[in-house]
Amino acid sequence: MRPLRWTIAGSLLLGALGCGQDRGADSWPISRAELEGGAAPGAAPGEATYRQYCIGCHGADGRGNGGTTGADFTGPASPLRAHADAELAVSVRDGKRGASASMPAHSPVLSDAQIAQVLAYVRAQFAR
Amino acid sequence: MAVFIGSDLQADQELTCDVCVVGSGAGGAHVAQRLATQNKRVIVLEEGGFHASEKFDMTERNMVPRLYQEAGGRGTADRSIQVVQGRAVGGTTVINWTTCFRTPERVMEVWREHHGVEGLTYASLVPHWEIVEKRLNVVKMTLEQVNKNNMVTWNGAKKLGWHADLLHRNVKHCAHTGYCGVGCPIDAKQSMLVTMIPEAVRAGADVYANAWVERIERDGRKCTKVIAKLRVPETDQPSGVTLTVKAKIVVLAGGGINTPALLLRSKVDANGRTGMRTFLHPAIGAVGMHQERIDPFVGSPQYVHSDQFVDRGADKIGMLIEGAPIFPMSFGSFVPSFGDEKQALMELMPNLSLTGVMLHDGFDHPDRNEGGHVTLTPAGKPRLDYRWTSRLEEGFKAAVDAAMRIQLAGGAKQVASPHPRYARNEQQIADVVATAPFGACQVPVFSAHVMGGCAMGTNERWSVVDSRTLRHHGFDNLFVIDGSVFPTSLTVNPQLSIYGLASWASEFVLQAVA
Repeated sequence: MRPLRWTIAGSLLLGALGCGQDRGADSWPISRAELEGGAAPGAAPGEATYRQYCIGCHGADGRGNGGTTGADFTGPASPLRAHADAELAVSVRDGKRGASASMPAHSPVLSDAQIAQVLAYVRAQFAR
Repeated sequence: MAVFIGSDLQADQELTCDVCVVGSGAGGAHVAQRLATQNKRVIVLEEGGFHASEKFDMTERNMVPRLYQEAGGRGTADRSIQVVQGRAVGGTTVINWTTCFRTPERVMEVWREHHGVEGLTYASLVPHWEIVEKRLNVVKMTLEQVNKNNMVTWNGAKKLGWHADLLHRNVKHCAHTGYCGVGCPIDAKQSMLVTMIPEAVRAGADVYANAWVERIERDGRKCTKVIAKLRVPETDQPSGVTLTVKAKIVVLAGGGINTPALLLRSKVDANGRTGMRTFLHPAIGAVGMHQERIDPFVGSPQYVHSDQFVDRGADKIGMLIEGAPIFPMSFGSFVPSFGDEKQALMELMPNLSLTGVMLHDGFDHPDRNEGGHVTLTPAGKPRLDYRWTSRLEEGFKAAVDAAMRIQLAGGAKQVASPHPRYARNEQQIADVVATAPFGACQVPVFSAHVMGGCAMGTNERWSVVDSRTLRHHGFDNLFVIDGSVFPTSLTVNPQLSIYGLASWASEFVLQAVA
């Protein structure tokens, strides 16, 4: 991933400054492919939105955050079982206040289309 | 009994009250609450806007300009250190990361021994901290709550055999959304915006947002008027309306930088110490590139800290290690790389983890002018010059070394200094620290803690405020109750120190009103 032109320019610059290459150290960030040991799979629509706005409370596994906040999408009390997408979309859009935890309104940051995508992603991932 | 915004006043007004509080953050909100609940007529003047949590849209793009001083662009005059401070009703508590420490006893001992601080002791603050900690729900995090990002710092420190512990935070029903720095969207953070300010208003206080205090006027040892220029909430431009407050007692609580600047604008600086010894906890760190996704923007900003290098001997600057989050806008703007390298770094962001380190400035004993110096620009705005010393530079090297080693030990495949310079093993880390430049403007440094500038003490030649009451040496009815009174940095995140201090000092304000 490291562009050749930067390699050459960097070598020339370091040589000109007389500081030499730092004994085998990298001069460029590691590539994602090397980091992950293979190419990353294509992301499903809605996944990026889930990771940005939902994962903090609902968790990477959809089970909520330590059982204290964020509804568990996988259990018997999952809102995915109790509510249709149209109802859930309103909650995501306008927010929801509960006794022990709340969900912020996402209308400032997500369009209706993005909310629909993320709901589809959540159903596909966690409604088993 | 209300919160007014700049557009609510269409013509100049003059108001009277018992206590006028300038600033509504950690110090000002506590004083306002305490005095208002004792049936005193309180007016709070706040430069920033009034933003309820419904307006917090969880984006840096919109929230940083609204909630931060100088739209997030505050810094030292030479731009070597970026300074983040809040600017809103609730002050910096609206945007801080909720970490709570009591003032360390060893720091207060330095104040007593080297800065002439009498009256204010650790023991005198304990009962106030106990009240505040209960009211603001200060709780210690559990290891199960720690997010992946902070877990790297925890694991790295443990693997190196270094000290590591969990942090206390002032949160209630926290959903660990990670948006502390751009305003908690669910009011879980027990900031002044949702605690002391509402209590003060319910008890009868009036809060004026968008009210920038230009100056105070005096007659001998008496502060006679507070002059505020109102601003239009939507544009943050002057509205042309002047609000004048006549108060029996005036409390300055604008924080480091703003409070000394207000005193200087008011031409109150009898001994030339106003604005001197401003401290920043200059902060630096290192990122690690990890095989698994870390999502360093998910979860609360900070859960863990390490005291491993708090004391490195008197000739070296101490430092506190803490977990720290990575957000797209701040990461994108902070790391000085361009083009393809910037893109490569940003693409790695989900796999990055950050360890932060803040330096303990203010303890170089022979140096009376250590740290920063607040003066005024020709336009009357604050200017902060900060001395970049060899002691500081050595500290940055040690801090980056420690942070890189923690990330490596915590499982990173590659680690990067803030320059950025890259390493994959201990030898390469040593090479980076030895060869990378650490001079002013050669490495990005930021500060989230501004302290000092109106140092307290009992020696009127070397201090600005009397440490026995927090009354200004030059006035009978002017108090300074905020982070500007600390004679050194605190060595820990400041909010709880300011809460305790304000609770303690409120008693003296109350006595003065009576």
